[in-house]
Amino acid sequence: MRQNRRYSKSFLILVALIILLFVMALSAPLLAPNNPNKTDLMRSLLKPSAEFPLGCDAMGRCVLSRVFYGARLSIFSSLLIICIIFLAGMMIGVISGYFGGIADNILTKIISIAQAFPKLVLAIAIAGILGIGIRNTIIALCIVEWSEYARLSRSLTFGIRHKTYIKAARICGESHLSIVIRQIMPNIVPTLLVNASLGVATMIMEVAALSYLGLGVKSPMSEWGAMMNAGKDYLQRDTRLVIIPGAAIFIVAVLFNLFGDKLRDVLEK
Amino acid sequence: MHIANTLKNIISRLLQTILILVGVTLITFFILHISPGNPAETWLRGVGGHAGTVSEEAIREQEQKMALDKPFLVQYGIWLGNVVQGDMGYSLISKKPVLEELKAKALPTIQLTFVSLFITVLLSIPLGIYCAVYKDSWFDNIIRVFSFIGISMPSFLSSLILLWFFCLKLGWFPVIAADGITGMILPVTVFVFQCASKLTRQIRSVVLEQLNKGYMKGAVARGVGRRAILFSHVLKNCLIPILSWCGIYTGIMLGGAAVIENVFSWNGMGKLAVEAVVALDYYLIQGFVLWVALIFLFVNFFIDILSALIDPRIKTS
Repeated sequence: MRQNRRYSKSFLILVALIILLFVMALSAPLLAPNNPNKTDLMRSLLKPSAEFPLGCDAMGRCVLSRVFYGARLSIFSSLLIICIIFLAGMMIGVISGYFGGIADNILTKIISIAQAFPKLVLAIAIAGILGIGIRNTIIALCIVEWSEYARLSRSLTFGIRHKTYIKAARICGESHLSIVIRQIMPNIVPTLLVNASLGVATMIMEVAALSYLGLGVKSPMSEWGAMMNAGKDYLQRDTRLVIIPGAAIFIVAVLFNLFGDKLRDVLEK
Repeated sequence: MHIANTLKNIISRLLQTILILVGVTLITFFILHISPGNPAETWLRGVGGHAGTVSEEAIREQEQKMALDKPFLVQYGIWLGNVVQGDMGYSLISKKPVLEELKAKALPTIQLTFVSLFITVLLSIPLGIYCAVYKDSWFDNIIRVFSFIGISMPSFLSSLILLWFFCLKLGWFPVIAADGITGMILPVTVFVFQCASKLTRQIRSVVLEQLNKGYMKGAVARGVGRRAILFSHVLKNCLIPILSWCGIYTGIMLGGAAVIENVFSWNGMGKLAVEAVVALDYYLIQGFVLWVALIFLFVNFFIDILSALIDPRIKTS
């Protein structure tokens, strides 16, 4: 199977770009020209210069350095959320779909309740109540977003659990755990992965949205949504403070969305 | 027989709706319960503790009044009992009844949501069909690029760009949204851009699916005109998924309203909710979650019934 897979050139370019993004985010301390949190009111709203390539914000902090550090926070918090809900959702979904019966009945009910509600509304309420901070943002988004993965894994598992090879494995004496790991997971993970890579883009935007509303990171941490929130008060004088972090979110979201689309082409053919 | 069945379905749907309402409010209530703040203290102190120091005794007394000393489930039961009687408690900050606060703010948000939804659907159906019929044409490609931008652009970025361009640069609209239609133009544009990007793609793919079905060949062979095929056969078969997407987009818009209303200073529930959350206004947050749930579930309930009417094969699940 694998040999037949043709990785298109554009897919490889996207992979390279995403790796580059990770490297950039990880090496933010090396790339940032200045300390991202050093304020200096003398530099307030400074225009771009050699020392501050993208200028300074209202507090006189280097915008470029904050964008680099923000990349770290935005990308890795989104990835963390996706990892958590991917694993938790898959576990719940597989248990529900594989074993069926009462467990399935109860879990499907819980999943449909969790799905039957506007997610961002609940995320705003939870993040706000738990208090400002990136940890609570992550918790809030995990609480509202896990259900999609659970629903998907459940329906995928349900679709294959009566297949002959599963029965054969069972007759051969394979344990349930082993069947789940060796037979079920390889079948459902590709579809879930496509969902996850599209999900990263959504998560980055949702983390940024919560930060934009002032419910995300604590200042002075740099996060793209929070930077836009701080910059919007100076929209009239200088759009730079909104456009630069906004463009960063947009570019990363485009990358992950394109990657997800291509991944679907690669995995689901 | 048929009517009895429908009635049974509606009742079971209603029960499910109530279950969802209880589930959602229970989650919010629980998180409020474990959160560090103390509603009694907030009530006495006001926002940011402006009222000066409040004695421990006064706080204890207030806690008793608000039944905060009771176990979690009892507190929830009391709250639920009051809600059923139409009492959603008082806002801790403004000291006004929550119901009154929400009532005033609900209409602007509902207006915004439904006008946006309506325009989104009106725009997406012809675009989606056109893109499917002329698949991979230049028009389809342009729409694809547009929808990709729409999907990847956070709503607050597009809102701020519109705000800057139309309010600050051109000065066509005031920065703080006016009431009524003029104030709605920009927020609705943002919603429509965001949702039509997705809906157009979704409609395109269901239409494509229909176009490849056997009945299409049959219709063409029978000499049915192109327009008739598209509008009476294809569109009819696409109505059900379009309706269920409308339900999903209502949810997205109700959540997105929090962000967009803030950018455009639109005086709706979303803006109120963010203020309530920042001030830890417990009962107002609870009330907001319940209201949104009610609106959302009502819309979906309505959509389900409509779907069952359109397609008799659908039994409300």
